[in-house]
Formats: sequence, C-alpha cells, structure tokens
Amino acid sequence: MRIKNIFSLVFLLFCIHGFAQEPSLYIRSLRSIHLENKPLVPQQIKFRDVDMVYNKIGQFLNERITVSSPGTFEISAFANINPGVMGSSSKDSIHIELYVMKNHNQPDKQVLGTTVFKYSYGNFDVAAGLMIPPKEIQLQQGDEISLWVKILPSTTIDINKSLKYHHITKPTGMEQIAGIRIAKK
Amino acid sequence: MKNIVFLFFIVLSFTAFGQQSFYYKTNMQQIFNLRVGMHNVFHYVKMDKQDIVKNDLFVIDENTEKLVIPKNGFYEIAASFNFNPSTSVIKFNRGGINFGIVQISEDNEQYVAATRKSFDKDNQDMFSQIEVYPTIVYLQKGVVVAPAVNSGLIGNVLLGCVLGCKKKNKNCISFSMNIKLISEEDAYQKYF
Repeated sequence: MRIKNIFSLVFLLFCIHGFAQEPSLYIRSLRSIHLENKPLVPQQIKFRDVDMVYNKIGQFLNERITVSSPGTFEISAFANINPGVMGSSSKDSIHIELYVMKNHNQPDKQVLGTTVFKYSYGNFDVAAGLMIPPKEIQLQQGDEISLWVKILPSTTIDINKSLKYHHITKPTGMEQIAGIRIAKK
Repeated sequence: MKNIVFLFFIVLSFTAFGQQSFYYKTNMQQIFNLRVGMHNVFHYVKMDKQDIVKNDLFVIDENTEKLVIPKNGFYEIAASFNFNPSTSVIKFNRGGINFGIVQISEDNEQYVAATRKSFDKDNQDMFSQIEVYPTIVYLQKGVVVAPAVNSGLIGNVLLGCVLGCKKKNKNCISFSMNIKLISEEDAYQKYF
C-alpha cells in the first residue's frame, strides 16, 4: 500500500511540475543578419536551433516555428535594425516595417502584428529598436509563425548595399538583435 | 490522514513555485547624464523597498541592497521607463539610448532584456514611454539583476535626462519592472 502511495505521489509531482512551467516560447538571434535593398520585397528574419531559449508550446524544425495545440496566444517581437547609411539632407528618410506572420506560405496567411520605424535626421546609422507590442491572437494546431522585414516604398534613399553589411545587428551597448515571444494565455 | 496533509503541502509548494515573481513600480524621479562613447557605463535606476508591489522571488530584508537571483532557471523579465532626454541638442544628430535590465556577476555586466530607443528632433524634449516587452532568459543563482540606462550611440552629451513624470502628472509610473521565475529546468547554453 505504501509503495502504491509513493508511486502516486511521484506521478502527481511530475504532473504538477509540468503545469508549473510557463507555456511559452522565446527565440532570439545573437547573429547579425544582412538585408537586401529591395523595397516592398518581404525578407524573413530566420532563426536557428541554437537561437531557441525556451519552448513549451511548439516545434522548431527546419527553421520553422509551429504551435502544437490550438488556443489564445500572446505574441510580441523585436528587431534592432541599422540601415547603415547617412542621409544627405534632413528630407531623406528610410521607412522599415517589421511584422509577424502566420502561415506566410499558405492561403490563410495573416499579419499578426506590425510596426514601422522612420529613420530620419541623424538616426540613419544608428540601430533603432523596432518593437511589436504583445497582442492576443487565436492560433490553430500547426500554425507557423515567422518574422519579416520590408523596406517601404516611401523610403527616399537606399540602405547600405554592401553584401558584407549586416543591417539587423547589435545596437551599441546591447546584446539583443531580434526575437519572438509566444505565450499561451 | 498524514498522507493527505503531506500531499497537500507538496501540492501547495509546487503551485506556489509557478507564481514566484517580483513586481516593482514607482513614480520616483531620477536624473542621468549620458556621455558620448560611454555605452559601457550603466547608469543604474535607484530603487526603494517601499515601491515593491509584490515579491516572493528575492530575499529582501532591511539590509538588502541588491536583487540576487535565488536559483538557476528561466526568468521572464519586463520593464517600462518613462524617459525624457530633456535636451535640444540631438536635433539632426545621433540619439540612440538603451533601457533595460542588466545581469551583474563577477565577470559580466550586460543587458539581458532591453530596448533601444532612438530620439531625434521630434521627441528630444518630451517624455516617451519605453517598454521592455517580456523577455525570457536563463539566469544563474547568485547573479544580480538591476534596471539601467546607458548611452547607446549618441552624438552629443545629454545632461539632465529625466526618468520621471510630467509636472502635470507627478503620480505617473516613471519606472516599473516585473521578473517571474517560469521554470527551474537546467540549461547549458549562453543566453545573452
């Protein structure tokens, strides 16, 4: 009888321990990433296995994040982007959009959250933080989440076109480059 | 009966684990002087024990001066800074300032959760709310965590930057911070 009780207790502890872990996902890149100077062309910020910090809600296979069960989730993301050029006059500006997508290559693709930063004045060659605030959304099992950048057509000058230049980068004095957080509500 | 009581306490302790967190908010004002090229210098936000809203994460008593991570694990960190560069010198120059939570150990002092805010001609002399959205990091037992501002990449010295509130709304939240232990799992990777 006692042994049975101990087994029950151990089983219960495992169950409770599982519940105690926050059902969320956090992935971030520590590597800088190059962007092409192609206005309006979506460019994906790709993550790798080593970028996964914490994952209790989905799968990360072949650079794809998918959620394992349906529900209400909170999603937020960020990227620190430096166009790598100086403006020639105060009228110049570069407009960059950062957005999170669901199922980007499927018919039911959807933008889940977006933000735009307008580089102007002297801030062209400074990494700016583009932040997508937390937003509640509904996801189905197997939905894929990805992070994208787009240079908007209202941009008046080119970003740095050198293939060696990495626009998504560490801002001076910080380690953070780009990331996504997904939390189940 | 003994078994049931024992079980109850075990369940209670595990349930409590899921809620270990620290929440702080204040309307306190603090002035910073940020200098060009000094992005390695962290200007720490002063904290007051009276402004702790909730704490069952850190060991804090009357002698405590630092927030020391109590155990290895994954922590979710969020913060908010109400900040005014209070200057007219950024204009068309560089104005990148970093806001976040720093981990401090013997050989390490770096942001583990942070936001870069770019100030320019349009917002150089007004309060902006800078959010550090929830960030998950692995922290080791014994490291100290503290909120800080640093100069990032700026073109001019910024004297008298204010973390605080507008005169008309002195009771706003000038700074808040939330740290939650979300898992005690082991990790061997470097997380920031």
